[in-house]
Formats: sequence, C-alpha cells, structure tokens
Amino acid sequence: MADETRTIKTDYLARVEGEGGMLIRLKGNEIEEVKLNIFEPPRFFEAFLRGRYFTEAPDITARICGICPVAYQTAAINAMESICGADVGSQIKALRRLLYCGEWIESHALHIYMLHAPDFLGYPSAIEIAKDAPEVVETALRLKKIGNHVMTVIGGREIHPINVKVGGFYKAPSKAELEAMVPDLEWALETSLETVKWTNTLDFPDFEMDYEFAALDAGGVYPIEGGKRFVSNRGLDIPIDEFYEHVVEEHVKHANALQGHMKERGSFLVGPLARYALWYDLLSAEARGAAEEIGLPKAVKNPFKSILVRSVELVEACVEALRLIREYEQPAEASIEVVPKAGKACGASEAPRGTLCHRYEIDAKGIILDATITPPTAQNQPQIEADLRGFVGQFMDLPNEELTLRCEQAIRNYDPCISCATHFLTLEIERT
Amino acid sequence: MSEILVVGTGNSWRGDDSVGLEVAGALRSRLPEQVRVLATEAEQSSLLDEWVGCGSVLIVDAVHSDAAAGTIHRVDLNAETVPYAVLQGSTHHFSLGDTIELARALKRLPAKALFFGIEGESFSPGEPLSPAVAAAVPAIVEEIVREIEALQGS
Repeated sequence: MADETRTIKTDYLARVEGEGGMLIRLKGNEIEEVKLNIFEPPRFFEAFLRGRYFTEAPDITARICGICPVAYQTAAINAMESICGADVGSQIKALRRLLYCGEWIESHALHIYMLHAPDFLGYPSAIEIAKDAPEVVETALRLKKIGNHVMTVIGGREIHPINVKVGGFYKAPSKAELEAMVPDLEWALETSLETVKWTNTLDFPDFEMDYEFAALDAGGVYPIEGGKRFVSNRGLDIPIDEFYEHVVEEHVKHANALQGHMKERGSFLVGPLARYALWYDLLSAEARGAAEEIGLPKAVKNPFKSILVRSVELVEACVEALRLIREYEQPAEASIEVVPKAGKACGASEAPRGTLCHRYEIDAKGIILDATITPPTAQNQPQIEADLRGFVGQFMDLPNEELTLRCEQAIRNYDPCISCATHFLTLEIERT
Repeated sequence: MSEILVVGTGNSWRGDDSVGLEVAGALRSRLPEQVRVLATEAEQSSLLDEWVGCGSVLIVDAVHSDAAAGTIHRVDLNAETVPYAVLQGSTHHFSLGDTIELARALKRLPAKALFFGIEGESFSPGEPLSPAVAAAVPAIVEEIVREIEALQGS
C-alpha cells in the first residue's frame, strides 16, 4: 500500500463548488493528519441580518437549511422573545413543539433510511435499495411525507414555514385540523417502533468513544424546540445566554469554517446520542420501551449506533406529536404582540442533528445590531475528526477501500448539515 | 388530458442555483391554469409526492458541469438516465439526480418526464443570477412553453 493515494468521491454527499472534503494521511501505522471540511458556516446570513428588523430573523434564517428550517426559525424566535421578555403561553409553545416534531420525523426518516442505512446494507445509495427492496424506501418516503404534512398544517408549507413568527403564529390551526393527522401519525408511530427493531438488525463495528455529550436542558421534558440551559455529562450546566462564554469557535485553516470547542475541555458532541444519554429518563414510555427491547444502553458511545438512537427519537417525535394533538386547545389569539427592547440574548433549539444556537443584539427600535449562528455541525466537526482519528487508529489494517467507506460512514453517523453548504465531498486517504 | 406539472427548484439565496425558481416564476403567467407550476426549495425527495398522478412532469434546475454558463441541457428522463455529473449542481441533501433515479427505481416517474438544466457558474450566497444565466431564462421559458403546447396538442 506504500505510496498509494486514493481519491473517492461520495456521490450522495456530493455538492457543487468543490471545497469540501476529508483527508486522512497515514505514514506507516501513524496518523499524520486528519482534515475535515464538510461544513460552511452561515456567515452570509449573519451579515445579512445586521440592520434588519428583529421580526425578520426567523424567516431569513429559515433559508439557511432546506432540511431544518424549523430549527433555525425556532432558535431565532427563542432569542428574540428572550431579549424582549415575551412569554407566548402554553398552547403556542405546544404548537411550536408539534411543528418541530414534524421536522424531526421528516429529517430522521430521511437520514435513517435513505442516507445512513445504505452504508450498513452495503448499497451505494437508497436508489439501489429501492431496486431490491422498494418497500423499505416507500416506508421512508411515507414517514417523511407525514413529517412534512405536520409542518404544512402548522407552518403553512413544509419548507421555510411561513406561518411562524416572533410571538406565535399568523394563524393557529383548529383542533380538527390537527386531529385529522392522527391516523397517519399512529401509522408513523407503529412504523417507527418497527424501525427501531429493523435498525437493530444492522451490523456495527466494535468501536466506542468517550464523549462529552451536550444538549439543551428543557426543564423536565425531552429537549426539542428549546431549552434555557446547555448541559453536558461532564458537569457543564450553563444558562443558554452563556453559550459563547463556554463554546469558542476557532477558525481552522484547512476548513473554511469555524469549529466549536468547549473552553478548556476540547471537542464535544451534540445531537441524538447526546440528547438520549442526557435525557433518557425523559423519553416517553414507548421510546424507552423500544430502546429496552433491543437492549440499547442508556448511554450509547458507539457513533455508528446513532442510527438506533435516531430511530428511538423517531418514536419519541411520533408519541410527542400525538400527545400534543390530544392535549391541544386552539388559543384565542394565535400570537402575542412582542415589543422590541434593546438587549442581547441567545436562543437555541435541538435541530435533528444537534443543538443550534443563535445570538442576537437588537436596539430599542428592534434593529438587529449583531447576529451569530452556530449550527450543530460546526460544533460536531472537531468531534467527527476525533472519531476518525480513533477509528482509523483502531482499524488501520482494513484495506483502503473498506477503510474509506467506514470513514465516510463515520461522517454520516453525525447526519452533518452539509445541505447548508454546497460542496462536493471529496475524500482522500493517503498512505506513504 | 392528464395533469402536467412544472417544477422549478433551487435555492433562492445561492446565486445561479435560483434559476429554476426564476423560470417557474416566469412560467406562471405564460401557461394555462390547468398546468401546475411549483417553485420549490424543498428537500428534493419530497418531489416524488408532488408528481403522483401526473402524466407529465417538467423539471428545471441549475446544473454544474463543464459547459458554458447559460447552456441549456434537455434530458428526456424516460429515454436516458440522469447525467449524474451534470446534476451534481443541486445544493440539496438528497439530490435531484438521486430523486429522479429513485423515482425510476420505484416506477414513480411520470410517462413523460423532462429535465431542463441551466448551466450555472456562481453559487455564492446572496449573489444574483450571473448575466449569462439570467440571459438564458427567456429562452428556456419559451422552450418549456413550446413543450407544453406540444403535450397539450398530443
């Protein structure tokens, strides 16, 4: 293998404008270098937000990502309502959580079945699965459609929901409109429970990492649409407003990106593995039961098993959606008036792929003076590199081709939000 | 006449990637009411549900290959597989190329399925259409109008 260089392009991570990629350089049995550049920070949007009115932030930031517009909208809303001291009340909060459940269902179903499962089943993509087992892909598409439909009913349309605003919604759906979704969501719940069992039939490499798991603390419920504190399994427990005092973003030369590190602690992990490990006890009985049935421990340290945890969260999103619909009472007013106040605050939400934090400063007229947006993948990128180092160190003897595939898979374990960027993911392993 | 759907897709904030949306917008006033025109930035695999029951679908998106900016690529999707390198120009998660091939594998591609790709050159955030791409919009609008007239006449 000496002097051998391989370049492998991963088609279904491919994007235009070829800056992105990963390089692992091995010299003998030593890892010389791991460089990962899969994510472009939303700097354009941060700049674009300055000078805009505070109520525009949800709509503008929703455009950052086609997969998780609700996550961006909600984090922006949480920040703005925090600055202005607005409390929207329980039913508007419930609707936000329900909208967010739709996004989790849509995004998790897409990732589990169509982006991650092919790695485990030995297929290059979901297209080849569709040829051999169309029912698997049809299941994924139906789940996705149900998630999309939840977003359409509440958000107005599934991409860049237009019914969402600082203070609530332009129009609140009736109880009957929500109840009409129950049969589909019941099917989605049953299918999610089957999904947990199905993902447990996959083969996983024997690999674990010792993670600092970090996620929002939502005050007694499984964190989805927000949380006032950011906590970890190693003692981090901070108000969300102090996020940037603990998470520092460093510009790294090899990636045109900012990478998040915990001050004096290093890399950390946000996303399903972290939420599950920190808040297992807050999962519904159905989700915990599904995890117990497959023998899933309360903390999963094998990143390849994130597909199992994502499936458990799919169950949770369905259970939670059904509960929220059951308990919903249409509010008399779909929104409250939010009067701008000069101030600065962070707002966060749990995007399907992890904690997303926004920080805004606005003046007394509501004009945005400053905006900072830290998506989950910016936080996870150093941890993905650490996983790759750990994995390659342990599995160096694998043939190049298999090692390359496993490394691609190690990236996909994180469901990275490359869709916000636009890049080819080229992958190289160099051995000298 | 079975339903005809025109899909313009892309990302409105990424320079030439928005051209599919521009074309869809321009087509709205040019096509009869019974032709459904969808301008969407949605995650691409959701398009499979949009064309359920349609006899014809015409899809417009920006592409990125080695051709000159503004070049129009027309692909009859029932006669040819997707020229994948061309369709990598999509900036979406499960790409449009993937979606079309997935539809083919699941036998969910309409009887008439055409793809129109417009070669882009700049996909930078916040940029307008580049001049060569903007100049191609009227031509592709005319081409699609003619295609639809032919479909309606057939």
